[in-house]
Amino acid sequence: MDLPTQPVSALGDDAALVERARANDPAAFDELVQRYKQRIYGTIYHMTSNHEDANDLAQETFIRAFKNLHRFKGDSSFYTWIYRIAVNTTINFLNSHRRRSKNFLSLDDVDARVQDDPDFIERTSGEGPAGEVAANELMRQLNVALQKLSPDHRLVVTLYDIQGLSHAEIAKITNSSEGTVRSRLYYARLQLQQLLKRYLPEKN
Amino acid sequence: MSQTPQPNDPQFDDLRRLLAMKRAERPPQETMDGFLDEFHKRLANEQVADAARRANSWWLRLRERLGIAPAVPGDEAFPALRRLLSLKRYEHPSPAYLDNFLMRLNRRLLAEQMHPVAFWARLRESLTERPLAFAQVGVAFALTFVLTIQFYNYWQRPDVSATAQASAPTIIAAAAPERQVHVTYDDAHVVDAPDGSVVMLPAGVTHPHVHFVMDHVDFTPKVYAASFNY
Repeated sequence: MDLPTQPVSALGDDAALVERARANDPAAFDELVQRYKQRIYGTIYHMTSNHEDANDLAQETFIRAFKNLHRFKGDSSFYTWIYRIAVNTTINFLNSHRRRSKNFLSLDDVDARVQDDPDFIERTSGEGPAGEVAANELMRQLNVALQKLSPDHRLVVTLYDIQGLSHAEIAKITNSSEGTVRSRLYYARLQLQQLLKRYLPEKN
Repeated sequence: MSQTPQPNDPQFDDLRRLLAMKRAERPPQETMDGFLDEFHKRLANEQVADAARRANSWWLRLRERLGIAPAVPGDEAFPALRRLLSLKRYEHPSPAYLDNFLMRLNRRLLAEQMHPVAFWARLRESLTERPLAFAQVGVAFALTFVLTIQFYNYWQRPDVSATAQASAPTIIAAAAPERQVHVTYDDAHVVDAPDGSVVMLPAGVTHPHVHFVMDHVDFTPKVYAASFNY
């Protein structure tokens, strides 16, 4: 599975698919789902740290999108729109439940390629089974730290540092200014820096 | 005249010797061994709490909401943290998990179309999801309702003076028990007294002394009957 690091613009033109989906072409909406399921799922998962919730909320997101497709005016791109639905659905869920998500991380959840990543090697010292354990422990600690942030702070970190979106894109998705996004990102990182101190070099 | 206490006053020798024994008292070694670790742990917790307090302060939140957030350092301030967080990209479910995603979605869509959610259920769900927003809307509705009632009452208030002037009716005055006086608008004129009451003077009387004090008047559109005590 490819990591969701390619720019969204590289995914091609969504407008034609949206038009076809509006004209009751189910294949077109399926194509949109295939395009964005991984990103949407990933965003929600990093927000909730729970696969069951992420799966449910990702489906909820696409169901809402399907039902409200007639309201999509095209003022923004489809991916901004679908992200906004996903973000609102997730934040509403987090606010209404206000519970600590259980972490259902399993060994299969961490891509084995992480062990080749220089940043991973720098922070852990292990290959093979020891590397897997180290990777899972690291991911668990990252999830625990992320769960300690408020939903607003967790969202900007997820979208910027993990999903690789730009400040401008996040501002559109969250319906706020770029300054607000930068501010939230800064204060979220300050907290994470304290929470993940043991994995960071002293100087940082 | 009081004497200045001397630190080596012999009268405190016994007490000093007693207290000197406290010097020999030492904390358990295991407490001292773990002291630094405990200190670092507590310091780290304090720093985390402090960072959270700063990030969630109401003043900062307000500024962010208003779009006037303070200028902050950018990515360059957190190179190591950013590299660490980027490792989260490796965390995702197995490919098969998402391969079935579309199938499950279509099944759920079909189920929802066959059994549409009732309006009340959707409303309840919305209320659960956004209680604050609904509370705000509720308060706004209540305020609008109260203001509407207030304005309605204000505009529906009868304009007595305009009615009386328009029809120039005859006023029948109910006098004190021993005396009854009938007056009309042609016979008397009404002036405001300094104490806030209304004073009626017979026609032709311009004397400043109070002759009749009207403390209660009933006006009805049909009879225009008035009564007052004086």
